[in-house]
Amino acid sequence: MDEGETVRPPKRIKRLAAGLALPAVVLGVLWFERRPIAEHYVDRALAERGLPARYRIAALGPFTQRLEDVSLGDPARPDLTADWAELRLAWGFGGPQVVEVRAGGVRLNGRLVDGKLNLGSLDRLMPAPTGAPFALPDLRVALDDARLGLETPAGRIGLALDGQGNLARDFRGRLRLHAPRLSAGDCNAVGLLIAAEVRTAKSGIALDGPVDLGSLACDGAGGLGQVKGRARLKLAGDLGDAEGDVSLLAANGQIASVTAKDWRFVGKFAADLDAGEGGLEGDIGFVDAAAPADLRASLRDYRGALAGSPVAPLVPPLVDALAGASGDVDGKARLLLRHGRTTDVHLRDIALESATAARLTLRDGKGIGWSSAAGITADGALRLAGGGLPEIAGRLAIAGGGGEGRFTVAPIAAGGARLALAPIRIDADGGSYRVQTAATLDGPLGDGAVRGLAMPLTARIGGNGAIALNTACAPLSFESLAVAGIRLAPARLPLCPTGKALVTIAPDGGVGGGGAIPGLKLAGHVGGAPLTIVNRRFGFDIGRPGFIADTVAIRLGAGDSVSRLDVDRLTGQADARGLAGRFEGAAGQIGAVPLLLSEGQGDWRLANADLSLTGRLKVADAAADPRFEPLISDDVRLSLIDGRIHATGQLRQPETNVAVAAVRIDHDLAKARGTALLDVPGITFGRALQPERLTRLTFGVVANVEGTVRGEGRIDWNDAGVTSTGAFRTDSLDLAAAFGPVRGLAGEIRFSDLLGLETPPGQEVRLAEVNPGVAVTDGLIRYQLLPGQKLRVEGGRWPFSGGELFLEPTVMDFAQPVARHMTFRVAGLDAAQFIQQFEFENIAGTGIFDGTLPMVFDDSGGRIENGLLKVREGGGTLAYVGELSNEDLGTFGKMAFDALKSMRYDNLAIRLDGNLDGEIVSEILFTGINERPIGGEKLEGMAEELTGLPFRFNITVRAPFRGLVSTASNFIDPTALIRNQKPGDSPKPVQTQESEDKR
Amino acid sequence: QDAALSAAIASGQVGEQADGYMGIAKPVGGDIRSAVEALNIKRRAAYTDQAAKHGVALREWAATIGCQTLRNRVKPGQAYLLPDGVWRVKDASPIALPGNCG
Amino acid sequence: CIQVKAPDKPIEINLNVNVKQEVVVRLQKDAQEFITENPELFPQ
Repeated sequence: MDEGETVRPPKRIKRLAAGLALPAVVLGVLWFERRPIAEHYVDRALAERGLPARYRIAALGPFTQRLEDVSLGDPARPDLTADWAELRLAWGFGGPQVVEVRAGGVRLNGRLVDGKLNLGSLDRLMPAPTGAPFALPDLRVALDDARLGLETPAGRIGLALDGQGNLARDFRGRLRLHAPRLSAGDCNAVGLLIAAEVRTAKSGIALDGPVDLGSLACDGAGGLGQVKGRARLKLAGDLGDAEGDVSLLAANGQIASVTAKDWRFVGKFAADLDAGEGGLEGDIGFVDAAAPADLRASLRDYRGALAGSPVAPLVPPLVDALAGASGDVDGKARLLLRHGRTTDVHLRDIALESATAARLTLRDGKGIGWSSAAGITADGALRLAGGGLPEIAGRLAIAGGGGEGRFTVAPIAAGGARLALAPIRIDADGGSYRVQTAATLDGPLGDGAVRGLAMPLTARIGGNGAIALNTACAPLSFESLAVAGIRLAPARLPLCPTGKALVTIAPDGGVGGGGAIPGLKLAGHVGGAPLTIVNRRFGFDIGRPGFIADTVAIRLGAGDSVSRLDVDRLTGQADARGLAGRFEGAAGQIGAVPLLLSEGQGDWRLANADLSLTGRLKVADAAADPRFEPLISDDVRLSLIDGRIHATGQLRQPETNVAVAAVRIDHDLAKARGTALLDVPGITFGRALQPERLTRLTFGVVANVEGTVRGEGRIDWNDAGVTSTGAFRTDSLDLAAAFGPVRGLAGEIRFSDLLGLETPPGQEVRLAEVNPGVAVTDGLIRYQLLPGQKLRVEGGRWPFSGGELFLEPTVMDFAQPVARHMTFRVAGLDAAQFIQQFEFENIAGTGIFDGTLPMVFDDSGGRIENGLLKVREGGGTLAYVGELSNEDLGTFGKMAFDALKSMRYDNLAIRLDGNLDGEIVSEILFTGINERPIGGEKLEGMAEELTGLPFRFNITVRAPFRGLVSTASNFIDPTALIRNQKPGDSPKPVQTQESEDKR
Repeated sequence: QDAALSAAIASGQVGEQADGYMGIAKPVGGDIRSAVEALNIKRRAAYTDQAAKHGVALREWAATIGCQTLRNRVKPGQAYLLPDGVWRVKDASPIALPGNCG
Repeated sequence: CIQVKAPDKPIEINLNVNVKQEVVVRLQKDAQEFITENPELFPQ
């Protein structure tokens, strides 16, 4: 309130009154000289004072004289004019006495210059100041429409006075004061109009009447409009003291940006004009006060503040209550104003009430004040309640920059959230304030809630308005926290500011700060499974909503079924849809599933309770000697909904980026149970990709693999353990194995334990051709993979030279680099086809053979060790037409040899030894008769036709098995032959020895 | 594995054999053994084709290769195996080739 | 009839030569060419 403005320094009132009495005095002097003398005397008297004057004496009598058209001062701009003036005289000893002055239409012009009244030329008539206290002259006066135009530094004031009576005793009249525009400092008053009854008495002057002010406005501070009121003023006789009461009603008003209607002030004031002191006291009130509409609208923008946090539900009702309350408030208070050596203003017994029934009161104390000496003071009991605003009660006593306040705040609850504040302590020291309390919060979090989230709060408010919250570490604790199926046990964590304070609010409103929890440790459960989270440092910046967690270690479950997740860095930001961010350096393992996940990086998002991840990942075999080489996936998509993980991704071979398998994983965290489905649409081996890039198991076992393998696998795990099955198949695979090249391998292998590489019995594989030195085609092997990389051959079958070759059951240990022993059983071998197939040039024979061929395969290839073949019943024929290696066989040798050209045998056994890829030594034992005569001179006396003679043969045959390849490539390269058969080709190598060694 | 195998060859742990295959002269780790086996498997597959193309037995072709490797691909300090089954280390002098090398 | 006593040692019929020298010599040039064309099979 700038009531102080209406108390003008007392000296002015004194000057004003003197100015009014002056015309009476001047006219009195004029009358005394009478007409010509008068005119002459007056002219001379005025001339003496250098005061030009013009007037017309209309009547001159002993008791009354009347002047008309009076003009004093510069004729062009007279200082005083009057229509008429009459003087009444009383004759006494001292000669004529002016007892009454009557005037009409007086016009007087004056200026107020630094507090002194200046009437232009009339000043020369003023009696010299006598030092005696001012007193009204004892003179009867009657004024009709006397006007004084006063120029003041604040603006032009027009005064009009009507009335009559003895100035010193009983003058009655009406005073009209009109100031179109007054401005002082940065305040402007427009249309000031006072019409007061004037009454003088021995005790002084009394003014009483209505006040009317168009508007009073001080730019920047506020103002009042259409002010109407009444003022009663009593001036002491010597104009030393003044007092009175005033009641004002402003139709509308504004303080700063708060507008209100019906501003009302009713109070009394008193002033000691001589001492220059004054005081004002009264009741002030207003109705329908409202904060500016745009401020209230912008206030509503905060309805969505802190969305997603446990305190979120409290915000909208609070904001609505504030906006509602600030829209329509009636207020009243007791105003006290003192002005003297110091100026101080107090508002006591303040009561504000909004249309929404919110009440704020400050009672029994000195209230809120400002003193030019002591600055801001506040003292009293404060209460806030109603209208949806928090209930606050307490006392505060702040003065001279010191003092304290104690408040209690009732818990605030709305929409499932509840905030309880401990009693608030406010301490003021040296112009800055410290506010201490502690907050305990229950509230929703995602699809869960937090209970008993508590933290002590200490805010420091600087003189410039800057606020710093928690400048030191404070314990953050909670009783329970449940979200996304996770339930955390009570925890107590040190929350420390990263910079100057946890939260800083700058004087201009900029919000900053940041906090960190060094060494975060949380424990809890997901469903039944125990959960621990350890995080080296959890930090967040207020400026950038979100957090950065370094080195996070999450363990879920117990014993060997614990699932492990370690993340080097996890960052997250809150956005409209929830929380999202990046993770880097993630590694882990899901329960007992023997898959090691590592080098994980990508993006994550938590939308209320659903977690989703996308990114890259490396998958490796957890086994000591891994069954497969690490694979990568750069399109991992994982979601955690209701405690169930669902993940998909395409696994690729790192160097060649060949797609190996599409993986789909489902895992139930609570039950620690899940399934992984592997789909291998097709891996094509060839020049770019060989099996050893995928697994070490085949390295040194097979090479040069060409062809496509397809299949699918499934791994199931629960707290009982891990089981896995799978099936893989190929239509045609070529490869080179230790025992020689294999063409056209086809078949399906079904694993009973995929990870253990075990199969049920009865697996079948077809081999279009195997060439351990001898090409055998259309093989079929039944086998079973046993634990520990062992292969049980259940049997194998090859059609062989008209009969069949059977592989006897055996078990081979691939883990050990030992010779493989395999026994083949021969059934129905047709000698003729056998000889023809192996191109023994100079032998022919028939007969069906059975037998066994024990073989050994090692580094240097396959060999037969004492194989035995026997001819079946019915024997067969044999003919050898080759030359003889040692010529001196003797007669019997030659005869036997002749017989061999065509023999019929009934039993024959062949013993076989030797290398499949080199030379087979076969020892043939048989008895038979010759079917063609034996030539020879020595045996005279025998019939020419020496046939049917019984023979027993023991023949050793050393024969190489040509490496025959029955595929299309079985052609002789003519160029190679020609080059080798060049005539005159010397055995010496063309290149000399020395050049040869240039490597 | 190539680097490890080359190192094993250079240090005489593994070396060429007269029969055309690579052999293990001194005890070596599993990886080197697998590498030698894998190499021999590839040699055998290639030899099988060559033997058929030249109409000779696989072992004959392999032995022919063996003569060449002993004749000019064994460097001093590297190991080699002759048909007598004795591993030797090549010095400056040329290797006494088996009879059938001619 | 006359009993023909078989010779004490089994008749040895040699159908092929065990890695004859001329086979090796004949294929020497091809072998060397094979080695140079397949360096991956002959690391040094």
